[in-house]
Amino acid sequence: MKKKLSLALAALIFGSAFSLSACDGIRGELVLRVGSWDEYIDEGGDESWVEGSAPLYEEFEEWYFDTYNKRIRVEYVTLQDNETMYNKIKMGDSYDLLCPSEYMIMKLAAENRLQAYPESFFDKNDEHNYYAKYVSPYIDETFTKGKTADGKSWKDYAAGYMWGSTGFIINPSHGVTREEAGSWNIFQSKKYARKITAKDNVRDSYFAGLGMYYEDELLNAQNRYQNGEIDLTAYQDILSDKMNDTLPTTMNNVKQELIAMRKNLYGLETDEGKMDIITGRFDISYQWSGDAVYVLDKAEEYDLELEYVVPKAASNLWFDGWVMMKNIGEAKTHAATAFVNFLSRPDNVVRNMYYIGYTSCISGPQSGENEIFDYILDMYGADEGEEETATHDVSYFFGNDHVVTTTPDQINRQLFAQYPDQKTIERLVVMEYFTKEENELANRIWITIK
Amino acid sequence: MTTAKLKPHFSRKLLAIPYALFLAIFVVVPLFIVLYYAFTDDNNVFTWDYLILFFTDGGSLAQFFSSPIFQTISLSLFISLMSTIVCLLIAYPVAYIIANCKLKNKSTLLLMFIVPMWVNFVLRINALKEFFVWIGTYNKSDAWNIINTIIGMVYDFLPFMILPIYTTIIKIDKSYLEAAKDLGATAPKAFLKVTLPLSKSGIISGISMVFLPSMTNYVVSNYLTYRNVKIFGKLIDDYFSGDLWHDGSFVALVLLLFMFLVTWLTGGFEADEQSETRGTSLW
Repeated sequence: MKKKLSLALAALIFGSAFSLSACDGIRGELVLRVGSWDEYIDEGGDESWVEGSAPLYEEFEEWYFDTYNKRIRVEYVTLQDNETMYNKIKMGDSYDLLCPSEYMIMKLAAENRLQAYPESFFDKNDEHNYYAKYVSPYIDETFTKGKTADGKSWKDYAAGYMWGSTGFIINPSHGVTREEAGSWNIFQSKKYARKITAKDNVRDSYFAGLGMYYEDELLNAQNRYQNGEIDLTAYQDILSDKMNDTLPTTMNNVKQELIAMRKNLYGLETDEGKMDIITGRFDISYQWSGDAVYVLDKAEEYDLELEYVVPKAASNLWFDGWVMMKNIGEAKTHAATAFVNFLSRPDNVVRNMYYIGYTSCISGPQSGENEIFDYILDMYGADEGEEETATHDVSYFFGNDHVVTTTPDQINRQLFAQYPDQKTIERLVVMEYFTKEENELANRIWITIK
Repeated sequence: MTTAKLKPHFSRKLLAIPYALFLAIFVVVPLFIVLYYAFTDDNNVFTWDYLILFFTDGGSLAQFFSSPIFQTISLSLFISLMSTIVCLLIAYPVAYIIANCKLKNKSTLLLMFIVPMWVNFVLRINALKEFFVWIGTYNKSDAWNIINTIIGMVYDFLPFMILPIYTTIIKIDKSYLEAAKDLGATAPKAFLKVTLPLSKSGIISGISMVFLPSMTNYVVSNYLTYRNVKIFGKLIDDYFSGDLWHDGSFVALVLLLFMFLVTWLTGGFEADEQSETRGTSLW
């Protein structure tokens, strides 16, 4: 982590120095200003899947020239979080391509700040349209169904980059069971008093609060769905309504849940919890799936087997996607879409997944040779001659008949964190953005509790 | 000829300009911005809303004393008060002993208490955290969290208490003590009647150097308690990072009032009668 931190700092200083010089670059040179997160693209070097390679955004410049015979320079800027990104845009900092999270995409779209992807971007016959060709059917469906305030789909404005769920990392060797961590109310369980952490962040906490408050109702809806009384769409509508409930009365009820949770916690954390669960300071930690993969990997270095659990009632489906800002002009639009396509090329997807540890929205071709699926097999597949194996169906993501034969532990560990099974997927909910008033109310509640 | 005469006088005044500018831009202007934000809403219209919200917690005035904000403020005051008392109890004897020891080079001794300040303070607090982990009191209970925070504050601010007290004690004219002895005062009585009153300005300056920062230095409480102890400064930070600028500004204003109150109570606004102790109030 120390190294990561210093790298981040170096990148920050470098980035700011760069952005200053970029203003008056060579006359006529086209500069694509890309804003993303720290450690969120393969930056080459020794830690890359392709050792000693250049950062992907630099390789893109070459590829763009080779493919389209046009010159572009990418100015890659890292930002701290969605709120910082939003404030920078509001203050007039201009970007061409950004990688915000789902709720910020919706917010930016509602404020009419985004430019829709051109039709040519979705043409599967163009050999360079890697995104249209290789985006996972699951992500594509989610992006088509999701609507922005102006009645368009998310798909019109955003191209998926990374996605995942939220859930609990648990330490089974300290007696925590998957059954217990399957309930949101483990946050208030006396058995785990001072043995559990939550995120120091208003959205994740509010979501957890809703989970505790609505748990019985959500499980009830799940039963009705499983008994065939309601169909999947109706079930998911209930989930989405409940987990996006921001009525003042609900907020007040959630507040009571969060107060009870706060008293029971070991503490709130943003980053430090990742190492602390490994050293055994607590046994349960609420985390994003991508970070869970990192923690589980890291724990193995200490001979510790941690697991990842997604609460039974419902949990969060999050994603980050590439969006283009309004009025960036034709040339930059072309370069921006090409950049998204370049990152969606299967070999680059593998590089990014290896470097970042998060799960890409790209699945690769649904039939035939699939580099991305092969990478997953390579990482988590059972070795030949393994005595005990289990199967994990990821067809919903990779297309038909994509089943990973793996070691039994992986069903509960990294493979599950990266690609949950179909049943888990059904109960994931996208959390929408808070309006200004909701945001103020939620923050006031959270600040007094935390 | 005349210009040559005026020159030194003129340039001295000039030297004050950067400081005045600095004060204006970084102290006065921000103060007014905070004031402005505390009493206006998003549409830049004057409002008492944030004052009311602060004191009523969305209900009535009676709720203020059970509100989390009140709890945070009282806990913060308690921690500051305890840190200051502990600092004073440790610092006074240390400063007294160093100032009165027979060693030739007293500054070397003093240096031993200053040198830890040369190590980055986040690093020191982190080390202290690891120490608490090692002895097993880290985040053990709410009470331990408060104790650990106080220890952290004392660790961090102790030199700020020692230095001004040391400077005042060392400047006390020894003939006063000799006179007290001649008039028949015992050593303890001489201390109480001479040394202590004469080192008052150092004590006061030390108190404000410890009490005020320990209300806001939330790096200490964050690191040492896994964010379980929340002090005044953290409350303000939470409001600003939660995009609640008006609420945050109002709370910042309340803190400012506290600061004025403490400075006023400790006589910080009174003109310094003793010019020799001027150096002490620098701290």
